Amino acid sequence: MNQTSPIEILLVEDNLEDLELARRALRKANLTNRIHVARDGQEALDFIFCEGEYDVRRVEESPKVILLDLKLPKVDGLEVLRRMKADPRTSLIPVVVLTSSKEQNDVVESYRLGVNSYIVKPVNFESFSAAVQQLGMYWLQLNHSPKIE
Amino acid sequence: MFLQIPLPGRLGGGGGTTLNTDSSIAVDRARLQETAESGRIEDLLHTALKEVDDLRAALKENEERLQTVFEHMSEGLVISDLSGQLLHWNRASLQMHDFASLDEVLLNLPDFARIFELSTPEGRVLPVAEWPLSRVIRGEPVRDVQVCVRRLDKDWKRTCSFNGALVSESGGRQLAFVTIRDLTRRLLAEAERQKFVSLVENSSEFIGMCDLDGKPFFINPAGQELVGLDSLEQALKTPVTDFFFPEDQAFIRDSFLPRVRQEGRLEKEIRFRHFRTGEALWMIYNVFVVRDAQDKPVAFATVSRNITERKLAEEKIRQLNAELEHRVAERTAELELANKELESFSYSVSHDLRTPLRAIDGFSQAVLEDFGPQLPDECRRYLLTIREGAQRMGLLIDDLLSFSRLSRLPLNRMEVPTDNLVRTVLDDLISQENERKIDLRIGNLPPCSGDPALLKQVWINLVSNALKYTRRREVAVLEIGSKPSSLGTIYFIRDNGTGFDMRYAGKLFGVFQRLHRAEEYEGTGVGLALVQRIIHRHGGRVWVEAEVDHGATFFFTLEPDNP
Repeated sequence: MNQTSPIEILLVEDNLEDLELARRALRKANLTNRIHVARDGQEALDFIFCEGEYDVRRVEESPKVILLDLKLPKVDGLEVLRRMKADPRTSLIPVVVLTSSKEQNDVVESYRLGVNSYIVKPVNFESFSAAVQQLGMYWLQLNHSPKIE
Repeated sequence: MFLQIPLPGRLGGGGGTTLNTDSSIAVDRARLQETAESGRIEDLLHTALKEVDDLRAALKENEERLQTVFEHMSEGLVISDLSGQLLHWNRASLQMHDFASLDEVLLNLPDFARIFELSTPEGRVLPVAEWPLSRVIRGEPVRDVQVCVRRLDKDWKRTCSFNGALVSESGGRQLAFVTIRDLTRRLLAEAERQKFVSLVENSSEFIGMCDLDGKPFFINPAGQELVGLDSLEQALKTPVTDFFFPEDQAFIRDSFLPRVRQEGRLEKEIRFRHFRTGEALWMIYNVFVVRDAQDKPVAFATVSRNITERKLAEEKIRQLNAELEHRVAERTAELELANKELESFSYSVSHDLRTPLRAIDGFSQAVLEDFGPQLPDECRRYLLTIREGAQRMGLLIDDLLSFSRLSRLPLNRMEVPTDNLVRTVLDDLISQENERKIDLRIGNLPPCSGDPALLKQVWINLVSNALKYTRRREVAVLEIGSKPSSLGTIYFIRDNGTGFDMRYAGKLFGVFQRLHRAEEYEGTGVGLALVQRIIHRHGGRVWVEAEVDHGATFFFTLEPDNP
């Protein structure tokens, strides 16, 4: 684990219940320490690009993985993804889309924009927490994030 | 010889001789006496004889000249005396009546009744007494009398015009003469001309002629009527360009007519302008050059057809088409909008309906996990029931979404190897039923034309259905096959399962319609609705035969009923 990076997971989720369930799942997998939550697309962008209330952050201190819901207030998830991937400073941060939507268009567009994984939140909580735990483990522990120069 | 011809004065010789018209020579005896007394008798006689010779010569010359005129005139000339005895026929009249020489025709008038039949142009046969020559002999004037002459022995008929009069000879004898003009050719030509005139006059086309400067000299009645001209007189005062709308006049004058002159003939769909109402008359304006005998262009002529109705019909069709296209575009836009709305509807169903379910399920599970040991059994069972309900609703939403997605996806039709497809599906599904005894009978399954992914879904649903409802049989029998029919290949799948009451067959293919209680057989009631939707999208039909406790057979075709 990279100790210089204070935030390891950016969880972008507007729904409080889903948020709590996701946190619960991550907690159960002992992945709670460095989670930051953004509640809409704009906040996510501000965090990622260190703008607005996050202007004291450094862009280079990027999270190790971003869990991104698609249906978000203000700026939707696909737009967040588009802007991140268009910026060389942030384009390499792994992004996992975590959404209720099975819509073909969303899936195709997400992959087109360079998402690393696409997970449909199941209604069944066990499946949900299994999915969250697995991807958390994978991206944080097994996968080595590329260093941004 | 027959006529009294005035002689030039000089022929009255100074010697007292005069020439009578009957060629006799009168000698003025008193003058002769006088002359004889005043001069030498010999000289006198000599002079007198010479005068007589000169007179005779002049007379002969005069007669020959007349003869020449008669013989060469194109009109026939026939002369008779008052008894009806024919005295002379000139050459033209012999020819006209088809005789070779005078000898044949110096007969008495009644004799000709054997050779000729004369009649009026209306066809009334004339007795000899009413023949033109008879009338002349009786002293009646004959002026341009038209008579049809039929030669009985040679079977021809001519129409001739007769003129005639009595002429007195100097001797007091009267002669009858008639001149005859053969009108046959002229009348034929006239009749021919009349045909064309009548054709032009009665034609419903616009027929007109103008000189090379565009000044009309003829427009037929239909043409005048068409453009609202009151008379030919008015028409003739109207230059050709005035028949057109102002915006077309320069084209007609500077481009169209010069090209007609160059190319001989030209046709153009263009509007005439009605002179009274100003309305547009669409015409096929066909113009050609009229040439004289020397091939010199003398006029433009037109035979033009009014196609206004056709043009209006065309315009109407064009408008209707445009309207139709507009309406199709409108409907398409509406449909696209509806489709968009449906898309955003299912998008929000997909997101928003599932989120609370996740909360219900997730927090029920959280309660169970965190407080389970402290809860009474009944409470835990309730929580499990809540979770089942939430998960079941999740499945319903998923099925409903895939059902609605299906109507939006394009059909990707190609040849599908049904046999392979069915075997793949069977392998997949039967491998999940490993404790069961299944008797599988697969018949002939010819390839079909359809969307492979969708057809796979059809077979998956039908086979799972059959497996589900044969679950309580010791041995499940599944028979899959096909048979040819007028609707194309009919595919079928028969099972020996629970079957159902055919009274409810109508409900079978409806979304969320179920014929069994959920605790008997699980399912959302979307599977068969999906099958029907896919088959309908292929243009085919699906139907079922079943009996309670005796299994069910599903049939389907994939080709339109009326290809």
